[in-house]
Amino acid sequence: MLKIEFDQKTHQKISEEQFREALHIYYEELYPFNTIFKWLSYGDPLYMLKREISFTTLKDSYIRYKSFQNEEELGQYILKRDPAKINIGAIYHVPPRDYAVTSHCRPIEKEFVFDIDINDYNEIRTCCKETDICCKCWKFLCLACKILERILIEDFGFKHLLWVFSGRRGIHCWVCDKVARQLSKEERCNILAYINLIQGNTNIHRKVHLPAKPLHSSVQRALDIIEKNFIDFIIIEQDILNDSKNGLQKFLKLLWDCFPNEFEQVMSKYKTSVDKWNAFVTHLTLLQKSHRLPNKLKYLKEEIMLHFTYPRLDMAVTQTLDHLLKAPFCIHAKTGKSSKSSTSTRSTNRFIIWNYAYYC
Amino acid sequence: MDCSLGLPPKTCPHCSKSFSSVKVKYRHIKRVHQVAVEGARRSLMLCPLCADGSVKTYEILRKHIKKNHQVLGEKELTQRFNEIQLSEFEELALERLQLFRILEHATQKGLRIYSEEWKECVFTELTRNQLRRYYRLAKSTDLENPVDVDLQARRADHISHFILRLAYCRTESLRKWFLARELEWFKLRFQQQSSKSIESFLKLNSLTYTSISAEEKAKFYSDLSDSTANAYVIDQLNFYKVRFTEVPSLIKSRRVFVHKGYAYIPNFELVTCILGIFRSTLNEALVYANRRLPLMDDDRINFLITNLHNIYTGKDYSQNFNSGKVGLTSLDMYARDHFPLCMKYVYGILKSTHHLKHDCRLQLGLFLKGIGLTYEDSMTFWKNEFTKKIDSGKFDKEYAYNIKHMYGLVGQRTSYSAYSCIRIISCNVGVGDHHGCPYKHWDSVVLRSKLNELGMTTEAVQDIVDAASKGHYQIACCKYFEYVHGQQNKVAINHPNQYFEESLECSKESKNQKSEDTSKTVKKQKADTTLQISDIDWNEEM
Repeated sequence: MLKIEFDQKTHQKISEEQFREALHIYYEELYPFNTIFKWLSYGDPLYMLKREISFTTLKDSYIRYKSFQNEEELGQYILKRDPAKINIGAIYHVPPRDYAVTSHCRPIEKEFVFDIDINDYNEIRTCCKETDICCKCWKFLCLACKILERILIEDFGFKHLLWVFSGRRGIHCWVCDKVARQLSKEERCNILAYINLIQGNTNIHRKVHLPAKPLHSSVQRALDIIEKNFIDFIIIEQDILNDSKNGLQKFLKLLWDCFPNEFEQVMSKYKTSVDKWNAFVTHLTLLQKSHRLPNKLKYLKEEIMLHFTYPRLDMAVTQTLDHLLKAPFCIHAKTGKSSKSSTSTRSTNRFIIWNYAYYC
Repeated sequence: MDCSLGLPPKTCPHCSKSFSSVKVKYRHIKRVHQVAVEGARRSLMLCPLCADGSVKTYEILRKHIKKNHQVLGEKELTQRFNEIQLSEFEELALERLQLFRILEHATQKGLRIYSEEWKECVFTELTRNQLRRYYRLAKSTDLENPVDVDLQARRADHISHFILRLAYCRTESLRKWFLARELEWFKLRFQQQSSKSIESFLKLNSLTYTSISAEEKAKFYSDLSDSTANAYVIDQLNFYKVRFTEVPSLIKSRRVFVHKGYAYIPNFELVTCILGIFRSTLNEALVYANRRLPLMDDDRINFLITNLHNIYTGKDYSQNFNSGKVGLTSLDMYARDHFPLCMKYVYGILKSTHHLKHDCRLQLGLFLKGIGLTYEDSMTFWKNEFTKKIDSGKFDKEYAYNIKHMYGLVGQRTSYSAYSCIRIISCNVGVGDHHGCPYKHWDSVVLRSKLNELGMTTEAVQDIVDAASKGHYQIACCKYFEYVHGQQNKVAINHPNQYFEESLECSKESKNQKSEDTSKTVKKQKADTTLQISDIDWNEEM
């Protein structure tokens, strides 16, 4: 299907000129303008006219506040410029291309979007670093998607969800229901606060804190999903308690407020991650039974499980209406160091991996 | 009027003489300065329902309301809204502002909002400031059968609400502040109402809620009992099913069960529902008023309306009075001695990793701007740091715009103000971020070890950590200040830039004290100047 499939390994270095050429062919032959346009206009051509489309050029500058009346117009514009990236913005109350200069346009609608990036998992994953991603850590994203999907569908009753692999290291979710598109900034923030459990910056070790009352049904159901995978995925595959990677010390930091020394004694007796985890669980129940566990740490085990698996969302993308997000099927032009620009069409390749991974 | 709340005294703009009331002020201006305050006696007309300023006379107002709103009967209208004198206009606005300051202060004192102590604090403050009308409103428990005094109070309440709408619709942050206070005021009054009064209120506003059926309740029984906050025996409770968008605050704090887009709320949370409606209506009205505001160009009130907001914020550190006071070379020294912990930490991170994320950059960048780093210096500073890791081309491309933006040179061209403590405390901090308030966003172990690193005594560290873990973040910050400078701090810290200025002040004072021994004359002069500076600093500017 793909004429211009650059494999990462064989085509490490191609010139900018070549890339542009390839990009042009891609837009000409493959890019599904029709589908994208149809999707973004929701059966109302006027809707699209008020929608901001912006572009990132190959030279990394931004062209903002464009809007298009029909599919041909959009296609022609793109084929003329060959932008590196197409970004989708909000619906304004007037066509942004005419009014952006006067700064009188206000965003009124936008899909409700979520972005999960793998580098937010850096402190917990053991297989890759920085922006790298492999099949193992891809599972973090899969699990996050499952949890997020359940909340969006079951709790909030949204029906039209579009999941897109972002091209390098993350997943976008576009919630396209009419109700979702019309949510105001505050409402978005509120829903986000409902969903989000991961809180704290680099100076907070355990990022989940649950109140000492019955678990909310949404948290409980997330835990139901997590419990099925936790041992296999986090303990065995990620091997978070492995001594060679200083895993136990890292883990004990999460328990800073709950007898870390005692747990160290108990857990360091064992070799494998599974045994250590089991020792942790047994000792925790022991503490609970002997009433030595403070009430606010009632859900310590759950908090730790959520710490490792709950979706780590990029808040800024979801909160504001006018945040731009990359359109599906864009090529991710990953520029490594400035001298050797390596490029790839990993977008499509990865999409397949993602499909596979997500449904498996 | 009480200056401790930061309201301006009723002073004459020409000679700064102050008066007992606004009315007297106008008389003084006319007599002494021979300046006729134009239209001081002419009445003002605003549509009370949409703040439409195009209305000029009572006649037009009546027509306007008839045509656009069709809500109020004419008789009711005449009773409620009469012509207002300019002096009354100003007085009403200031009174409501005072009320809002009282509400805000009560919360800032660390009292739990809507708790008994909080209410008590609000009531005593209202009496102390002689806001009799608001006191009466806050205490009234029945909405029916009002006597004349009640009607008077309601009139003041209504008119001042609409005046403040005009003043606070201008920017998003103003709208947010105003909305929050209005909601507090509404909820306070709503909670005082008797159940009969609430019933008639609901009826009056045609709000009807029906509870869910017994089958539905049985179906979600365990979910309801787990997910509903503060409800232990749910059998006795009635549940109402409303769209999740109607109860934003319950959703936000995960206090109700949500299913398929509906929130299941218990009867004691109905007030949230009504608050939600009030919030969205008011928010819409504010946005609308903002759009219509340019139409209402009236010299008599323009000054008041545009400056009213300065009265509450205190210094906002967007206008740079200190510009150029701080040079690049002394920045390290300042960071060591005078930065509050939040900034000191971020500054340290920047120095060691040569990179900061966007929000973090804003927190530090605007603070530096506030203490008087010029744009040019700022650019050099960031560039020097960042280019230790990336090349300058990449910096120019990705970060330079951001710095220009901070100084209002590109984009919307608003000069952004430095973040206040409240802003920093309430900000979202995500994974990998460094910004935020150390006393709130750090684990107490981390806080403890960082404070130890800074060489504080064990006793001091314990004191600070204790305050922080109790949730008194600003008090913890004050304590930190006290331990660093070894003296009692006069004011509470509520802005990082304020911390910085206080800190500079302290070091100046201690220098003065050293020179005391050497010469007495110098001492007297300097003591005078320091006194003046501290006088101007906080009370005047607010």
